[in-house]
Amino acid sequence: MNWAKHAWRVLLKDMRTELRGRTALGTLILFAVVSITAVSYSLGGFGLTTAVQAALLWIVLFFAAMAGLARSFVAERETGTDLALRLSAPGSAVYLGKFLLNLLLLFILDILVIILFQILLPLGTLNWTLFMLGLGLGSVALASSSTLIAAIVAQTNIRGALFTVLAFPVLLPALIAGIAASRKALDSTPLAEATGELQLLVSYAGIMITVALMLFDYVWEE
Amino acid sequence: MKIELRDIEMRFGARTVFSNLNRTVEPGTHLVLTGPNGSGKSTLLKVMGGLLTPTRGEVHWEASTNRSEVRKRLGYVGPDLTLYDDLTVAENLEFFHAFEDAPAASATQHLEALGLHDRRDSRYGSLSTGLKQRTKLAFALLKNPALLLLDERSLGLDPQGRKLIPWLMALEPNRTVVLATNDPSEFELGKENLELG
Repeated sequence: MNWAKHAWRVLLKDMRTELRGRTALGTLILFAVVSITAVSYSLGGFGLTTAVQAALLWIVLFFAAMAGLARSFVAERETGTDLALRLSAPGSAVYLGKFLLNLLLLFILDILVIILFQILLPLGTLNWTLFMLGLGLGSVALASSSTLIAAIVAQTNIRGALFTVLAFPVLLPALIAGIAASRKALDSTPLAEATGELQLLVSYAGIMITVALMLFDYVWEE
Repeated sequence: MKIELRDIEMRFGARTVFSNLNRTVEPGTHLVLTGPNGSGKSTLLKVMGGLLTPTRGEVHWEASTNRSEVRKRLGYVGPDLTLYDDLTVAENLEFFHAFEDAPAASATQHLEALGLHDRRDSRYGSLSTGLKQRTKLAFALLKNPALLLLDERSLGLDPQGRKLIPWLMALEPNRTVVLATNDPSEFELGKENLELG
């Protein structure tokens, strides 16, 4: 279980530096607050359909994730700490540690986004179990692939733009399933009628984590 | 660690930094790389550590060409390596040392010799350039490496700190140490010299 211990050490180190620097968390929170506030003011008194609410929720999550999640690897590259990490830590442990950090940041973002939506764009009556499951599994899917893509783009010179361009097509299946699950939850659809979306999110995250663990050593060591 | 450079060539675009380089470095050798700026000392240092792939030729480390294996036994101090600004000296060393499955106390065993014992709880980002370089030297020694690569250009040590280089080189007699330097006073530190350019 050495890999689990090593991944835990990477996560603890990243949490410590994040708490002291707050670069990724600050970016995520600021983006979520600004975008939801802007949407709320521009829509004013218009009632939103559940389909639009679900899409808005995931647009905010996607772009906030794009703004903040790449920091985990890009900051290592920009400051020059990636070489020290590469000389010391196995690639799979680095991937898992960074994935868990990004997942933690996304869970914090999820809670913040739900609170902001309830205040500024009230969600009404909904199936909370399905809503939270969809959001949670969607976050795992988002974190699994964006962590791998962040490691790839960190090696390039046009990191910011490339991250979103590469991440969007890869994340599209997860986004579509996440939006569909959230819409059904906002329509108070029973959980049993949304198993297809949830299964897709679980499969997507499972495949991405497996692929990342298989490929990450090559991405990390070159 | 034994290193064999076989017909090594390194090019960046149209510019050839060095070519047809053949050299065998026996275990425990102290090799000093010398040469003018731009002659490829730092590049060759990274090639020898498996941190750069040569354009042509092969590097063998004890008959193996596996770069990821050599990195596990490599200590490196160069201009492109830094530690975490937001962590203290001790936190940095303990974090990197934790991957070695060695006793935690040994992470900071060289701090006194490197003149860092009273700065162990200072944030790395708050240290002066010279003290940062000493911390990087402590980092390079964490693995008790079989191969130690030192790029003098990045060390930025004061006269007192420069005395650490001979100490480092003599610390473990069986360790292969390669030092890239422009300082004539350090040419004598090596059992062997290799002049580039």
